[in-house]
Amino acid sequence: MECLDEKLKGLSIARRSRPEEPTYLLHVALQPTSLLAVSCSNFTIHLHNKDTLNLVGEYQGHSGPLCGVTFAHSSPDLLYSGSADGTVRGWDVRRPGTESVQMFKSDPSHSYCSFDLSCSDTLLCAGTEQVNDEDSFLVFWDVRKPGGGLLGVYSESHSDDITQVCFHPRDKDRLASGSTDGLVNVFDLSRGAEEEALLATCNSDSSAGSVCWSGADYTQLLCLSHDEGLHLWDLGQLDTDEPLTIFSTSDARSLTPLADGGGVDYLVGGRWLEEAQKLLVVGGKNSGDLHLMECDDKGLRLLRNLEGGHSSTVRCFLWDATGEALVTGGEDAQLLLWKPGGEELTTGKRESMKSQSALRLKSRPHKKHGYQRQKKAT
Amino acid sequence: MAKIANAHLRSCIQQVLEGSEEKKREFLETIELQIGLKNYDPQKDKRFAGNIKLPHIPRPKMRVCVLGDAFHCEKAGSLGLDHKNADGLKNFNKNKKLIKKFAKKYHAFLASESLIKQIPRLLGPGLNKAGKFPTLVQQQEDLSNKVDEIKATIKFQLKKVLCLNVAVGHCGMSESEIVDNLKLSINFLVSLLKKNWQNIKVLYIKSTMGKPVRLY
Repeated sequence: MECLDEKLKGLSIARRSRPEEPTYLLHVALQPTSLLAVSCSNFTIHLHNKDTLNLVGEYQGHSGPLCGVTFAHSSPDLLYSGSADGTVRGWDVRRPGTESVQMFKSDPSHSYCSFDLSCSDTLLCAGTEQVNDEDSFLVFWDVRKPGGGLLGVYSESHSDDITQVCFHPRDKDRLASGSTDGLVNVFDLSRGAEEEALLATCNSDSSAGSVCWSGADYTQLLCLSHDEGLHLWDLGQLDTDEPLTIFSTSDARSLTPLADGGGVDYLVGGRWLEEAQKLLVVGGKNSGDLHLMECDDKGLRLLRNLEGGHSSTVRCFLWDATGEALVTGGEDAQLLLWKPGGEELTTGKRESMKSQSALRLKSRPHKKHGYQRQKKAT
Repeated sequence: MAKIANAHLRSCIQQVLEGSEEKKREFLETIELQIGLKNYDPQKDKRFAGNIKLPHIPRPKMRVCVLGDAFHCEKAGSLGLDHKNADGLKNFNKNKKLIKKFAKKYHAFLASESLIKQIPRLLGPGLNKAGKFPTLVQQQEDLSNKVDEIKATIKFQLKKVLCLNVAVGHCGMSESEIVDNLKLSINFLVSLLKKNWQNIKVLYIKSTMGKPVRLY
């Protein structure tokens, strides 16, 4: 079986979605059979065919910035989205363009900046922005209950905007939350009250931006902070004498995994790849170049550079294990599909599909290293 | 820092320090850097938030408490720092009011590895709520250095408006110390922005009660 390194080495752009409108593509979710859902900065959700990237539908209805999209695990026709407008909505993907079929709300003062669905599809959790300069809440709903099913809130574990909520991929009662207060909390929801449920608190000493479960049995947590810090914790060490920290840096840009001896400009996110048993961390340069890296106790190791794709900051990505494809979306409104040996298929309108960076390349025919962009001197 | 001439930087700092001298206040004034951003949309651009570690301590009066194992508690004692061990924390009996009061007494906490894992069990979420969850201090780290590090670290966060205030020093610092702190914080913050200097509209420095002086 091909190892991850080889699979990634073979990646090249197979499909590029044509930018309709200048919007940022912020989150992407996969429905394993055929669809990709993308949240846009204009408050809409786009549905794409995962192999052709053709747009198959759009959902409008949210009146505030979206904080995520996720498909239900066992009923893949259901797509959930959360928003700062104070709602988490469920959409039927068989009927794009229609109203939401489910809506979850809580107190009118709550504005959500993160949400997730448990692996059993029964529990929804949303993290709120800070309310009244004091509190921020984790709001819970029972998805099966008609009319909303609000179960309650946790109000004591964070003191600022809760930027990420991440259910454990296998344990339906385990939840991790990250906040701009720098803390990443881990809960066991089967214990009921918040004080009993709080299992561990890890401090990123910064502002936590993204949190994801990692490791062979998903006992590890990866946390990326807004100022490009990276922390990898092993919750398996909670009851031992060993340290929790597997690897930690307050500035991942100072690490130098790239070929030119430099580092990335920013981190996009991380994802545990089950088949390869590796933690993939995606970083990028402001030019649009992407760098796929592996993270372990020694830090970051470069796996592959992806150039000529995006022309601006990349905000989301996902790895489709069955299709062996990487999907990336960014502020240039482009959704890209990278496959091994993928050859970009164009359909006539070649010029308009090319990214800005590629057009710039064309005007410099004698440039030796075509894909390297010179950093602007300040 | 090519964008701001050294001479201009120094003269601005001079102005702020002089302004503070003219109208002497009862307290030691903090020096703040005010940043106005442009070409940035808080609703869709990446969040601008985090911590900066400055070379010189901007808030010397910061009170730090050490929650330590035997080793760190002893060191803390010798450094004249307040400290508590596991038993000390157990004595709170998870009393929310007491824990809240305890949290209010200090600006920040440091904790040894063995103790930091037990905090949710010993104290519940009290320190979380107060925004004062401790920072880890490892066995091999020098406690005194760590305390200085904590005192020199400033949090910054852009919420919904395009301006940000960051404490970079105080009126008792020397001009060159303020220059160091300013240069580092400006370069760091600019490096985090997508368009770097193109995202900066304006920069001011001021003392707490003084008038803002335009830097950029």
